[in-house]
Amino acid sequence: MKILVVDDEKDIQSLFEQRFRKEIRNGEIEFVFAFSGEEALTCYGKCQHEAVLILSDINMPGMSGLELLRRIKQIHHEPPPVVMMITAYGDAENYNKAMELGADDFIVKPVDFIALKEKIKSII
Amino acid sequence: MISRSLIIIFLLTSLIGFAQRQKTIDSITNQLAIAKSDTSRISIMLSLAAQYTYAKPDSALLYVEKAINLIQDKKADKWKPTALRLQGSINREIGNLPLAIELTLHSLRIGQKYNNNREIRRSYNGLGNIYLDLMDYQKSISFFQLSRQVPDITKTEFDEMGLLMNIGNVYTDSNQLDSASYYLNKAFLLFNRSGSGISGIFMYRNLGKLQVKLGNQKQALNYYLKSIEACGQEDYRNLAATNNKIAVLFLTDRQADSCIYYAEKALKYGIKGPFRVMILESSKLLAEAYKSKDDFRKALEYQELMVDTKEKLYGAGNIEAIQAMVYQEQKRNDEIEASKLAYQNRLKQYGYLAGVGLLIIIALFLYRNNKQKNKANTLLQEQKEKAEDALSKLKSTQSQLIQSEKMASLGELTAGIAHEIQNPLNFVNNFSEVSNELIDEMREELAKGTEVSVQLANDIAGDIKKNLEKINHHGKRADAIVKGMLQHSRNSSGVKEPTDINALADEYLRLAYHGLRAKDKDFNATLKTDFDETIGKIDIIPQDIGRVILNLITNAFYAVQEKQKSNNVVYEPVVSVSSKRSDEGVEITVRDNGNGIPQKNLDKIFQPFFTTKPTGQGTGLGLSLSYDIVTKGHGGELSVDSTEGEGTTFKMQIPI
Repeated sequence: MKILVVDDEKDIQSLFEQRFRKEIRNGEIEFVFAFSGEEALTCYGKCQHEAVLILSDINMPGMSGLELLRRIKQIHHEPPPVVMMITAYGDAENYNKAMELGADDFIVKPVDFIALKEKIKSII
Repeated sequence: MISRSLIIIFLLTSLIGFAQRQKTIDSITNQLAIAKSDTSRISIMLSLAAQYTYAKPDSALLYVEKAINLIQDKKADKWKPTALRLQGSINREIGNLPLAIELTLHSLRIGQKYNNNREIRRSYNGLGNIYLDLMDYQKSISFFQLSRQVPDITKTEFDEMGLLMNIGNVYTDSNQLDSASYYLNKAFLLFNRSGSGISGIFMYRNLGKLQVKLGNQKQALNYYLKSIEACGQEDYRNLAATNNKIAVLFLTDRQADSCIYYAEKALKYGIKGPFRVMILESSKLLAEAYKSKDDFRKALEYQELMVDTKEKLYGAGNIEAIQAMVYQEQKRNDEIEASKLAYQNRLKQYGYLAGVGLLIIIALFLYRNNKQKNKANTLLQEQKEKAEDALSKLKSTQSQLIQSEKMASLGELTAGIAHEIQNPLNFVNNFSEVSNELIDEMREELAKGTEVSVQLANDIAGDIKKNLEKINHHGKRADAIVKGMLQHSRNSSGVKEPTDINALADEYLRLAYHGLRAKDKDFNATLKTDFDETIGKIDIIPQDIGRVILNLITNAFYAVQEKQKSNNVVYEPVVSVSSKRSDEGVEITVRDNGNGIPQKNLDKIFQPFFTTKPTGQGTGLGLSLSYDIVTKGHGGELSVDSTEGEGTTFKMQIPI
């Protein structure tokens, strides 16, 4: 189970690796990190068969998370990957836009990792 | 040598050679017979008088008298000066010097009354001649010079020649030979150009006289002979005059017979007039010549003629008459002067009164002006107070505006700031929570007490330490943002302090970007930074320069955002910020690939309140304040370069 995490904040990697340390240690989850929309797209191109879940930030310089979502949804892959948007701006506009583009979930920061873990586990 | 001084010069204008003269006289007499109008009769009579003067002075006098009678009958006053002057000139020739003076002065007065400059000029000339006869050289010259100065448009080069010649002659007689040469040479130049055969009589005689004085007797004789040649046969007066001069030559040379020959010839001509001045000179020469020959009987005879003539010319009665006349003239002149003076005094009086009147008017005017000025001043004072009041209000409004501009830009940042603080705070929370969990795990491992578990606990401790560093890092990050925000809203300290301008630019770039993103979800842009790390810290007022950078960056974002909204084709918005250190200082460049600024706006963008943003979205103060901060506050430059459709580049140069 590979999860692609997209955020422009580099420390997100360290945070995720610690938050999911047990799952990683047990080999339940494998994380792949990308620090921009563009990088995420390249990365998804390389490992789309393995990635089942994409967690993406929305506010990023360059390609935004929403744009990334649009592009990924354009690539018809079966089964389609689950895409969860994570953002600091939990306003209706942002939410509607994400949903319109086919996001599977919309998580507002600060992230509740316990809830996130459960969501991920339910998907897996 | 008195005789030499008694040479008479004539009015040149009335001179005509002998042959011509007779012809002229005949022709004029014929004209007189057929003349119908009185004016032409007067004119003809006067012409005849002029023609007869040198040959038949009594006939000349007759014609003048006839003319004067006619003038008085017909009240043809304009002819009077000419008639009187001619009458004077004829009387001078026959030796009535007092009458000559009186008539000429009379002519002068009437000429002056009628502004007849031609006659004034001629009268002065006549007076010069009479005073020469009286041997008053100074007066003679001054009359000739007066004559030259009369502004007469009818005056010819020939007239000027006559006057120069007359002046030269007086100088010769008064032994001022340099002056004589000067004037005679001048006259001779004109003579060569416009002199007639008749004026040769005088020209050559005068030149001869000068040569005598210069000691060139032979040269003198040549001139005299030329003069005689020019006289013809009936100009008795001049034949007498020149022959007298020749006689003088021989008297000096002690050739008494030759002297007597010429003097007797002169006397014969002189008596025809009678031309008394000539007679006087001839008789004097003859008396002396005969005396030198010891012929005392003849000498006595001529001596008596000389005395008799002298008495007639300069006798006590004559001199008294002249003196009386001169006195009268003087008196008349004095009266004229007095009346002139009185007139001038009256004028002065009027002038004075007018001046007083004017002063009163000016005083009234000034008084009125002053009153108005006072009024105006009061008004002005009131207006000044109003203006000052308005100015102070304006100043406070301005400072409020500046503050609101700051707050407006802060408002634009709020969302960005929230995001920027939210992120580090999330990290702080997450890492602290995770660390808490890690400590629990570490304790569990330590409690196991095995070698492996201790090793594991040690690893966990390392992770915890890293987390704490991250917590610290993100805490500081949030702290810096809050500080920056406070700094931005605070009034500028106005104090320069060492500042990392790269960090300042980077911070505001991020704030501005997130601020815009927070407001417009669709907005996106590529941020490019190229900071020159060698800049280090430079002395600037950080709040102020920060505001400038923020303003430039938000403008750049606004520009690319506008282009993105209007553009359907693929467009990648790029905003780049770079810094560079040079010899002159530090250059911060903010570039966007937006729509660019139209040329017509480019000149105005630094003006206060100029904005292209919709109402309510921009204060129009951002760039104006930025410009002031950079130029006035830091002695730098803020310039803009824009190409429509391609983008805009702002450059801020700060000297260090």
